[in-house]
Amino acid sequence: MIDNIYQRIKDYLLKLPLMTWVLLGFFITFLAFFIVPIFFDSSLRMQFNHYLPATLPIGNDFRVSVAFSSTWFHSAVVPEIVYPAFTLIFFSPFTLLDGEVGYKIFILIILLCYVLMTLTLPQRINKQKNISALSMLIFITGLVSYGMQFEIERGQFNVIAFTFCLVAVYIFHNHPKRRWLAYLFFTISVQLKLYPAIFVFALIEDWSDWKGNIKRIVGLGILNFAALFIFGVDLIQTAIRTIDKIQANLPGRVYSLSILSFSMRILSIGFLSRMPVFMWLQANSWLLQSFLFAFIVVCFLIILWQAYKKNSKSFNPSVFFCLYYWSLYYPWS
Amino acid sequence: MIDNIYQRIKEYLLKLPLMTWVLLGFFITFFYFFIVTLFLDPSQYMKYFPYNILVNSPIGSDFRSIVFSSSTWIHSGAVPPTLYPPITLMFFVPFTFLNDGTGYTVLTLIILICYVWSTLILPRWINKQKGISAFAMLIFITGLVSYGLQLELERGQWNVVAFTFCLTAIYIFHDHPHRRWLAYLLFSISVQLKLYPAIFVFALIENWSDWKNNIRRFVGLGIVNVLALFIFGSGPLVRTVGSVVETAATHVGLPFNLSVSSFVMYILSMGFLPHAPIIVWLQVNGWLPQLFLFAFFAVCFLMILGQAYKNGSKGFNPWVFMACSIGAFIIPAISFDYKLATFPSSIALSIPAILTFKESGNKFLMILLTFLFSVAYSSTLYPYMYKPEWLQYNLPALLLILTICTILCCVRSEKSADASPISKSNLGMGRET
Repeated sequence: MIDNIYQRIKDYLLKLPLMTWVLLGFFITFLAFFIVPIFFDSSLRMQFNHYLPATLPIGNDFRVSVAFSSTWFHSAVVPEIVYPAFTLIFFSPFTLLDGEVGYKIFILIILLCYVLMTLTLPQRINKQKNISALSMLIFITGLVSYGMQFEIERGQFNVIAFTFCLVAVYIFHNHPKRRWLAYLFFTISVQLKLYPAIFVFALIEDWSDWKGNIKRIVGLGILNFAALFIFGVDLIQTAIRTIDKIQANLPGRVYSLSILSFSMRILSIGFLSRMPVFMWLQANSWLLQSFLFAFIVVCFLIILWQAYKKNSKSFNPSVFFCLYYWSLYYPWS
Repeated sequence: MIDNIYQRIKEYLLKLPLMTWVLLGFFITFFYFFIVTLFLDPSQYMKYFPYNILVNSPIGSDFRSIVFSSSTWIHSGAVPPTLYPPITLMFFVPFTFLNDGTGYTVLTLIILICYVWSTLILPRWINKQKGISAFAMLIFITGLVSYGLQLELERGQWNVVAFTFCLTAIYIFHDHPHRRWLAYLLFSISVQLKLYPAIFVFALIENWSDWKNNIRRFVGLGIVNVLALFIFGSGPLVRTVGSVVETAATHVGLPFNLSVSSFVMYILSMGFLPHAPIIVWLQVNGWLPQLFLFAFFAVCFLMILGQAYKNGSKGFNPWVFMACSIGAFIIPAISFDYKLATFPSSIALSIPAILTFKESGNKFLMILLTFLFSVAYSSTLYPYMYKPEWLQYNLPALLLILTICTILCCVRSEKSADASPISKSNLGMGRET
């Protein structure tokens, strides 16, 4: 009797569409991270938390990038920047606009890029006719998400850079005759944010053609490396020094995604930090970092190996997904 | 050459799926009521949700108040005056055994489960769909984070719960005819919780040409529900009516009141209106614009009912249901924005069958109406403080949706003779009614 009920429940659950489990997952985090902090606060009052480390004036990173670009544009002096030199050129059109108008246009560009990279391009790359319920779920939750609001608040250009990268991947796989355009977009993407360089592995059509692939990877590598020196060697040296400084301040910040930052954070959590093993790990934090780094590398290599072994042709979603994760964990992310 | 380009653009636009226009409408309101408010404030600082003025302390004040009244009744036998039908006191009795915090947590969970049930599951069952469509997901997720639902949770209201009872009743009525007694029971619970679901009695019609049985059902349900109001005698009911009248008088002209009477007072008191004699006269005779708006609703509602009757509509009728939903928002004198938490369910249930491309239909008209619907509906998802003063009231958006619904109902009726199957360009989730 009990076996029968258990079997029926099991059959019922196994027959449920995958979307049910996706929604259940979303619902649990919605309850724990939205409903509980807002409505179940001990003050017995609905909370309007300052959920972003907002700065004054809004769009700080955008304004700084435009100011640097303006300095270079008007005085020909190359300022000290943390982004690749190409960003000075990329932001130069905004120097012709008033700061507020520029920020508004920039937000619109971010939003349009978001629609393109979340709704349109995935649909085209995956050759779907209509928008699926899952796409819509991801699109809407992403549009109002903390990450997206943070991007807009800072006036960052991750979404723009990633859209260039995704357009490159799309053109590469779906319009082979226009691959020069794909390489151009890919290079723009890398020159905006550097980390999209990892997506060079998404620009592989035939995994068994390793000669052609290595040629492409080396070619794009040389091109992008050379582009970093567009304003000379000094700028790169300064940028690396500035990044080092930022990197030194970032570890332990909750909003930093990097392995380094996570290790520092987890080891300093109250009750853990007093345990002997954790005290030892604090002194040797490189060990935890190496372990996490090795874990990601192993996952990455397994997926690449599978793609190579299966002689994967055209766009490989597993490789792409893994590359995306890889791109999130770089040191100053 | 130019004609050719124009023709190609036109063809391209007309071939786009209706979902494109729905998303465009959502995107426009998202930009104006969310992005502009949060990120483009003149202070040059990100502005966090500024609707603190609506927030009560302690949280869940309406829930705590009704549980307190219920507790008073159960312990002393005296029926305290509330703004709700007397049976509500019975409904909240189980919460009197819990402490306030636990009770509020349980109610919040019930509201959220009812929201999922009424927005994702019941519309799918009533419309006989297999999977969840992109449109249903859009409505579900945007509703889940909407201002209406947040206000419902903040106040500890039970509109979503009452509406779920009502929707379950409609589902059982149409899909399980042998268990209609259960449908009537659930419908009555819904009415006794919030009164306004009474208008959805028009959704409990299976065969519109069978007017004798329909009238019999209306009268039967009407008698049961009127009698239920007197469950504690006439005294408590009279006191409830007195409280409602008093509250209604003090809550007119507030932008978070959806009712026609409140809207008229609000619009006539707005600063930007000229001090012309006609405005002054209208301010004195506020009943006239109220009457006009009520008449407008009545005309649309009757036209939709008329079409259902004329066409001998069978089964669930999405147009009638949508008209009832709008009526439930705008007719009661006290109808605060938290009631909007039930709107996603109405939309998920009726719009897929209303907004469909027909091979023989006017595609341009359909696109225009879809876009207008989308802008109107999505504008109701944001708090009124996020909107410019002249757009703060949700009533015009609701009337616009009613108008769109009426136009499409009439157009569809005209075309019904030569109607061809739904093309692939519709929202992809409706059933032919």
